[in-house]
Amino acid sequence: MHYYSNLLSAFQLVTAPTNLVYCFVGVFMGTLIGVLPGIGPVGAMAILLPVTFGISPVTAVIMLAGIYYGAQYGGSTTSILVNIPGEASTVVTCLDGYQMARKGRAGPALGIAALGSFIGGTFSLIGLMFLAVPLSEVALKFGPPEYFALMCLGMTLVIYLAKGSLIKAAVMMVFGLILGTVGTDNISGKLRFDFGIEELLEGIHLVPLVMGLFGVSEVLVNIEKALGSRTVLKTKLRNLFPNVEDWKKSTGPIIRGSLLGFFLGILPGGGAILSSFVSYTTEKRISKHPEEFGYGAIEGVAGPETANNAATGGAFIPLMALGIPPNAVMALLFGALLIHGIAPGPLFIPTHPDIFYGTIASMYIGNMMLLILNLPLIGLWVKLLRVPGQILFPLILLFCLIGAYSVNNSLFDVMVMVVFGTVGYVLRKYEYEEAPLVLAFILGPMLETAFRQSLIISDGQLSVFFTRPISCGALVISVALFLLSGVGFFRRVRAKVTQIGEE
Amino acid sequence: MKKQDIILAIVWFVLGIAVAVMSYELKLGKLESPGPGLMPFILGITLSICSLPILVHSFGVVKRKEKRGDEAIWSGVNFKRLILAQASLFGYIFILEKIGFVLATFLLLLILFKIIDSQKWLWALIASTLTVIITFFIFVVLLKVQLPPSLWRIG
Repeated sequence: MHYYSNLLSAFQLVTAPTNLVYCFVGVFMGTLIGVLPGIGPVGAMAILLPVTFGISPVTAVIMLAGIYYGAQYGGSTTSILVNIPGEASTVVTCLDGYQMARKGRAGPALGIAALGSFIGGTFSLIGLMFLAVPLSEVALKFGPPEYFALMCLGMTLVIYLAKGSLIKAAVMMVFGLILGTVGTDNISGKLRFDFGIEELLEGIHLVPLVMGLFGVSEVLVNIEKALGSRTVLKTKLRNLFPNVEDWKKSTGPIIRGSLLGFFLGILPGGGAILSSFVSYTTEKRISKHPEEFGYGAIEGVAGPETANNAATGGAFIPLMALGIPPNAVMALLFGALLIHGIAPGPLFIPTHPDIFYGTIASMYIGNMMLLILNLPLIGLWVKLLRVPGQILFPLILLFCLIGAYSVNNSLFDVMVMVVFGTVGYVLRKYEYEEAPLVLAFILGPMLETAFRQSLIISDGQLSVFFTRPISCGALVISVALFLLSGVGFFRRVRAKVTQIGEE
Repeated sequence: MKKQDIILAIVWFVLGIAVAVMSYELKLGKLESPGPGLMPFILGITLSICSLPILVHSFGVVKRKEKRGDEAIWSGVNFKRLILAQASLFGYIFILEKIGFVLATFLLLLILFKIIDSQKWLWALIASTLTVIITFFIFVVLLKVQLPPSLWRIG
């Protein structure tokens, strides 16, 4: 069983002191930004990306992945104690988590959130290991038409599952693709949209773009109005371990949340957000006492919290097996691997088993670290919740500036970041989401290359996309999704997610 | 869609057309040998098409004089603070390599601390001094990040 021997050597790799330290830094930073307002996992990963240039790719991925799943833990803490979701995927946790806290049961709520997250995260890692390897073997047979069609399907799903308006998500997607074409054309070597600016030869850099959109613009949105102080529920944090009755109620939601989260997490777009929501509605529907939901039902915390962490493992599958990042976070990991000279794709797992299994092993260890960070040390995070924005926001801006400059020692990059900070601010004001833009920006060059290669190998026949079963299937599903966007299950889900997001 | 959506819809429409025109000049090529302009041309057209439903819808809202979404997105926004924050970021870019990381960062933080919280100058002064010292220590001394040296070559 090559899985086990690989995993065993990966555990040896991960428990090397450097990797343990970076793993800890990752999950610590993740929890921190999950708790603090003004910056999310994507922005934090962009800021820390330059730090990873000097370290090995395995260590880099270990740290960056830690930020991602760590933020899910931190986000639930604010949902439960402040009724403000730290991350979008912990929005539904507010519904029952905050009610539990108000009834003096903050301890068990935080406890079940952390334990459920741990179980869901662990389950999805096992799933990731067993599903990604066979999938990448299938993907080896894919040619440019299949890749083109799969990316189209991915982007359609992202638009479909977007929080707000479908058409606005589509606009962001196309805008991102256009930004991705800036610079030297991969195939002809011709310059596009460079406007005579030398720095644009290699295109717009990923790091300043993401920092601007997710760091600077977020701060600008936060400082546009008078800063209110956040009221943290003053509650005694005792009995963090849920009692026997809590466990009885939570076992079902945790099992269902693990499965739901993992499989929905594979879908491009807001896998974690979607799965937390679907889990909540499922639990409410099958519950014997649905009237308790919204008034502090522990099932409403256990299910979604398990699901959103299970989704993080699922999200790695398209990236690691196919080389197609399914969301903005994975797009950033993709960018990080490229910077280290590694091109994710079907050959990624066979050629870099150390990174693949190393990431899995590190996430396992990281989840354990998070359990320790979030249960006994919960008091520390609650104190951090009270850090005022007036200190925090200038610091975030400063870190963005230093980060953007240090990538290439280029003032132009800093300029790009500040400009996209303004662009991102305006987009946020008009309710456009930035995640599809970043994803499309990364996918753009790959999509174009696949498109043009398909045309070249088929001698200009557009039918090439429809005569191959996989590419035909993917494109048909994409078109069907567009046509059906007015009806169906996902439409209702979308409507609910938007509604909850606005509350 | 709301009334104010019309502004960005126009931006997308014009941007899409502009991209399509520029791509056309880049040579579209033929289907059997696609040129560098083909993909951006398609994208530009798509962007313009995508902007149309927003345009039509928000225009309808304007025409029917609906009050919907009139709780303007800009109400209560402190423009002075917003513009000052933006300006100080752009200003930082201009002075960073001229006067060095330490001094430029100190000035930036002083402004940011002052405008974001309207605290007293003394408070902003102390906070920025401390922050500069700490960040200098972390980034330059510990992480060995290359940042523009100051006028006196101490950083």
